[in-house]
Amino acid sequence: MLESVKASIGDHLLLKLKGGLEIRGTLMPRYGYADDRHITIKLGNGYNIGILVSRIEGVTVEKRGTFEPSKPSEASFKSGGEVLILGTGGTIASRIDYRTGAVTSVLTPSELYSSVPELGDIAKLDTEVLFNILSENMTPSRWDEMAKRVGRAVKDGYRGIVIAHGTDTMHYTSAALSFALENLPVPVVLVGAQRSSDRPSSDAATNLLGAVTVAAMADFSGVYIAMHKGLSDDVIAVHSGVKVRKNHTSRRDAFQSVNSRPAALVHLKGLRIIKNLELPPRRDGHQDFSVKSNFDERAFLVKYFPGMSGEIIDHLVEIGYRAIILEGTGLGHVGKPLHESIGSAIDKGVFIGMTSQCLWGRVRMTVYDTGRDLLRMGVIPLEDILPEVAVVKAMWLLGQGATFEDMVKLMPMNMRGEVSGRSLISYEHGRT
Amino acid sequence: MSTAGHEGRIDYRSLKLRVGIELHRQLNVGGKLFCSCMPVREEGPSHFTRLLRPSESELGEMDPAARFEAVKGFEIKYLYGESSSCLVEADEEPPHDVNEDALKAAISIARMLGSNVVDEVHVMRKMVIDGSNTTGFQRTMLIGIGGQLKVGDRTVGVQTVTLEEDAARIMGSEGRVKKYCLDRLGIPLIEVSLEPVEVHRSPQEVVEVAASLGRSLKSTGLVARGIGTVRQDLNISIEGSGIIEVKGVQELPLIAKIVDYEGKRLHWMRTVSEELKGRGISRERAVEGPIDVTDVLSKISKGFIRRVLSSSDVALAILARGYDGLLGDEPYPDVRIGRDLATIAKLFGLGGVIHSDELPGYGIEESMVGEIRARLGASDLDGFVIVVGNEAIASRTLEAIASKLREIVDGPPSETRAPTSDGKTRYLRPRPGAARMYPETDIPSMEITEEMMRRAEAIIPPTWDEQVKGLAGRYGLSRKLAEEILDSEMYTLFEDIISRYSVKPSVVAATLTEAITSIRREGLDVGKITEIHLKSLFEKISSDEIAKEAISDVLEAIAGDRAKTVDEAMDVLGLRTVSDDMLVDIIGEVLDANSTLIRERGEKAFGPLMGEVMSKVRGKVDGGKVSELLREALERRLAKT
Ligand SMILES: [Zn+2]
Repeated sequence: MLESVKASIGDHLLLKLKGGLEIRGTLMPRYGYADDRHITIKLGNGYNIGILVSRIEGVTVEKRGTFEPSKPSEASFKSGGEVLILGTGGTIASRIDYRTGAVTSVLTPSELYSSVPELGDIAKLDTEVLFNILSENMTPSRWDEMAKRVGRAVKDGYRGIVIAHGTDTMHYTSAALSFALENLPVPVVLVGAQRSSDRPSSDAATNLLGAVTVAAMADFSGVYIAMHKGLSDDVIAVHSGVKVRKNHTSRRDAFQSVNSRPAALVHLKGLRIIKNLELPPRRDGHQDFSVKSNFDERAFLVKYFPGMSGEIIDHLVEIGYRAIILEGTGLGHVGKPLHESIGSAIDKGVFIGMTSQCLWGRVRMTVYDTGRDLLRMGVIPLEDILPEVAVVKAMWLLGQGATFEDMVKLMPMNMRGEVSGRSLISYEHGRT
Repeated sequence: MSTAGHEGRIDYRSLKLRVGIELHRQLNVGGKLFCSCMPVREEGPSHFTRLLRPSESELGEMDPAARFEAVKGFEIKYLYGESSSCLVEADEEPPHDVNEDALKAAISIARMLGSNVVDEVHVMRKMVIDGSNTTGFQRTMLIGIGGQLKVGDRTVGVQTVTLEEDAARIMGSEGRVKKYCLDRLGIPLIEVSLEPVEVHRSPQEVVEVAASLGRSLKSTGLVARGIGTVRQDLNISIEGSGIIEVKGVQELPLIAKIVDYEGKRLHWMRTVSEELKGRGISRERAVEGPIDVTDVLSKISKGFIRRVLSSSDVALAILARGYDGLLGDEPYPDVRIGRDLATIAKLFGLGGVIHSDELPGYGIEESMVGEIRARLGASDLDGFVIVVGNEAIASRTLEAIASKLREIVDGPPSETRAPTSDGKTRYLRPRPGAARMYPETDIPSMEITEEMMRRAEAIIPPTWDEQVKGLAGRYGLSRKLAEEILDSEMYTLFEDIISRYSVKPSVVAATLTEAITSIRREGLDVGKITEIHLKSLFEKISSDEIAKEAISDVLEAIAGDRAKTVDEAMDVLGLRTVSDDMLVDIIGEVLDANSTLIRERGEKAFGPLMGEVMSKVRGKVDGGKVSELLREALERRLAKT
């Protein structure tokens, strides 16, 4: 019926329904998994409704739609800015186009300045859409690409780099960049949003403000994640890239520092940065800065649970994995049925490191027999490294050509702040 | 301009005064629309603060209402408690599936009104960034299109029936921080929009339509009752005017006053617009500026301007071309452009405005007025508006005022206004356009199946008449009283009180309807009488602490601000004192109840009996008198046995 009158999205239609009802409205796209037995019409009062196709007796196109296809975003914008914002996709950098159903980037400078005018007061910004993917589709080769782009930006003299990123895997990326960017002289700040930027309550603007403030003004360097500290739009927490985790599915303050306090806080009133930890200083030169961005994907993260058998370990070895990070119980244990497989994996030169599914605290495998048995087999305790950080570090070390012996030595050693020498009694009492 | 002839009554018919009613009622289906929280009243104890920023709507334009709220730049503080709010209300978790009972109730109501139920329901986001929704939008869905309502011999068309979430409850503001409570946010609301009604003789016609719609919704038994569960929005226009949306009228009697006031106000605005055109003013030329006049005003030696300007504030002025005499003229009570401009300034957190029609004044002398006029290049027919305050806020305020002054040139502009308690309105914000709706992408569309339609249509309430008869029979009420209480917002409270306390239902019904109405007629503020007062009153009646004859006096004391609680009212009214006759009766009752004790212990029963009598009359009568009368009565009892 619609085809017979060549109705297309955006056209103003007059529909005659069975029973005599007439409906005027604009033909809209169908989203997501909507069925094809209905069409969506936007009425004059702004409401969308679905109409059963089989109820339509007649269609007239009253006016052809004037929708222009949404313009592709400017891929990059350069004006000799101080801070470079890189878009990689995710909630913060994209918005649904309600006319076409397409997801478009919102990272053009004009869009940024119009939605967050305060950004212009902090620093001159350049922006670039590096790629536009959902964060669950992030891969180590994308980390490589990001690290190289940041490397060029540092050499080009930017005071700081902000990376807009989907939140789901943002803490993996922050860990990857922490390892890949050696002797980084400036701050690199990843930032995301838990509420999409097409809603007035989005945290995108405030998180961006916090991230750009750190990138432009902080006196420290390194890789960080900037997200809400709590439910209020007042303080942005700046987490160290290797001590942070997404700990909630939906809250604005989903990102939390684990086994550390947030590295710094940004108070949005007055844009004050308050450091909570000793952090590497910002440096002028970049002579010793290098990008080591090769990742070897043959590292695997295994979460242990009661009843797990060793076959999975055998299989991983069989298909060529070279490092396995165990997310064990408590102080760093896995059940007896796995021990034989673990022993034989290590004999074959596969690195096996132990982290804890408790997340908070340090593994200590000398306390119980199980731990001692695993240690004797050659399982390496990874201190208080987060499991996700450990698997990223393993990929990176392997990518840098590490041998089994190098892995045994380097995995538990602090390289980028991922291992803390001391576990503080409380992480609550940072400065606020 | 002469104002003669404007006073008093206006001819509604020749103005073509039209009023569309949108009735919003909470649904009484348990739970909220998009989560499992309870719709209970709860203020705090915790809070968080937010900033809202408008985003582009589906059609890519920024909504004028949203823009207005955004430039005001308020911070919003949300209070929440554990029973009434979860992460959904806090905008920290995506909405859950739509409450099925609410959807079913909405379909039933749509069918009752003869509305066509849509095949597939789409949840929409309606931009509201005044802070009343944590998300910055209200979720709403269209359920039915068309239908009709019979009101006497008039048939009023139904435009739409929608199901939406209620907004957070405003608790006031402190400086630039607005406070809202999350308890009401997300309660399901049914909204019925009627076709505009033309007012022929009296605004009372509009009240009748609203009352009739209210009755049909109440008859379904699906809607909640009580203060705050119902709100009417009125869309008012006259020939040549935009549409004025008056938001949130809670009481029916106010509707007539508001319609009358708006009719007069729109009439005046149209007159102003014609006068401006006569003076050759176009929309584009209507305003010039702003310019800084701080130096002129700092010559003032005393008064509020002096005080304000001694800080870091500035005074900015705009030229209002052609407006001389039109800013201050007041053809009807409280109908004055200056009043609306002052309201805009207050919405931006400033004290108000100073305009040329009220000068010289406020310490601004003739010479200063001349200087300001000269700087603005004002002719004799021009006016000007000054605001004093923080530079950024003052200039944003003047932008909003300028756009209002420009709009007026083309006729009374569309806007959203709030009702005042005395039946007038005040400016709130520009009227939102259709641009403010876009799809709620977190919730998939829902097909209305035939099965759902059958179940919804199975909810067929008894007719209004049957319900009135049933109620009258059940509680021994007259037909008139039964109808009044069934129609009343107090109906749920009525049921609650008679299930809790042993009081005659007719007394409760008459108090909640007739007594309160007559107190309102006396001009007292019945809004001061809360459910807590009424429950406490009937508790005391059921325990004989207050005689039912004193009901009106107690309520009048509360409404008249002479007492804050029922206990205070009893003190004020001297209801504490117990007469000798009452005391003798009380003693008699105590002796009757304790005949065994008296038989067994004789005169030694005096102690416990004294304790019991005192517990009933403590504070109301002297203990010595109790002792004396009790001893006499006890002796007589003992003498008899
Ligand atoms: Zn909830």
